[in-house]
Amino acid sequence: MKLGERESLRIIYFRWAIVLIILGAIGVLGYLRYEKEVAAFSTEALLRERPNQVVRVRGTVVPGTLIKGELESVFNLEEGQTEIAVRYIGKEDDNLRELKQMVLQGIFDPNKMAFSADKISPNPHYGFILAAYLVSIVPLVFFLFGMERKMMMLSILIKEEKGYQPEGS
Amino acid sequence: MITQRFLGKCRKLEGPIGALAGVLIFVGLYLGLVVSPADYYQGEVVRIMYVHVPFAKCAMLAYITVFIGSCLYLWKKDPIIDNFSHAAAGVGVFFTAIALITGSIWAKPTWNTWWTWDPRLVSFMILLLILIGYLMLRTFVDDKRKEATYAAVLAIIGFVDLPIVYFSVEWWRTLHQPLSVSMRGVSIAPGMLKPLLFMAIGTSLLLVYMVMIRTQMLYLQYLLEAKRGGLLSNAEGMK
Repeated sequence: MKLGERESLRIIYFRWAIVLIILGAIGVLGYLRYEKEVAAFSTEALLRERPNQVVRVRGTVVPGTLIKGELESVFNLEEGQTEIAVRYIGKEDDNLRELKQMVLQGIFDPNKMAFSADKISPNPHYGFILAAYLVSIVPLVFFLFGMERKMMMLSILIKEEKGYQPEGS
Repeated sequence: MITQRFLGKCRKLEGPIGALAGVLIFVGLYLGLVVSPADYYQGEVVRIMYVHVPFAKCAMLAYITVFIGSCLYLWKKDPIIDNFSHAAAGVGVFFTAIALITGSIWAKPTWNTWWTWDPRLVSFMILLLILIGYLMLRTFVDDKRKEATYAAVLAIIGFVDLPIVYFSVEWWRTLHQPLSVSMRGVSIAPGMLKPLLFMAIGTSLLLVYMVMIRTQMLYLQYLLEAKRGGLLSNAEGMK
């Protein structure tokens, strides 16, 4: 391989290293946003750790426990075997339904074993989001890198073929 | 003549188009994953839209490219046009498969199923099968001219599926949501439209870039085979 060809290959590797660094940075920013705005305790972890500050908790609304009001709703939230009583104070939300997976933000009272929430939202399903992005971005990067590299290798091979003469000629 | 002009244009434009596509996709990913708001009903999972929708659009654009290339090939009979269609089909398979997989991942938390026999999904799956069939057909025929002609005819017949894919959400009652951006207007929040536009334009440019690179790759492969074939026949003639 000649010096110019090696240089061209090096440029391709360098370019792709930059692409990976930028993708990694976006991934880290996305993860930080998740930690800051979406990550939540499970009901089990909430009972175990009993935090005395505003936290988020996720779980499924237990059927038969939901009593909805215009400005206040009560229900039980469960994940696995653990169930907690919840009082949600805030505007009525269409997403609040029985068997729906929710994330609630509020304060846990360990004495009453109840959670007072002032914000609710549907389960973020971060695993699905991560899977969708990985399934699309990772093969895309491999596909593009493979294509560029193959084109470079083909150019090199064609140049080498030019210099090749069959034996005995 | 067409070949040299086409390859010259590809070499000249591929760099800027690739770079612009990269920048738009990075900005789109940042806006989609970090800045844009969650949907009221779907919540955070709506972020899958920023990869699923642009990839699905690119799959359809790739097939339109295959169709146009195939019509042009049957008219002009130039091998570089065939390389162009062949390249677009390869890229189209990639985008169609990814769109189907990301759609399935999105369907699970929103529809509570990985797959349903919905007109949009089925017609899109048929699009993937047509593209795979197109690529497979090319491996069965030895004669390059016949291979290109058969493939072009298949691509033109298969084009029937594309309007069905596009209008399936309008023609039938489906689980799949209707078009968010159409002649009737835009039914998507501005905060979500921005990353979607960045991703859609970025991936479309990426499609152009990939077709350019792949066309050149197929041409170089053909050139190398021709050179090697020539050398072999020279060597055999000397025996």
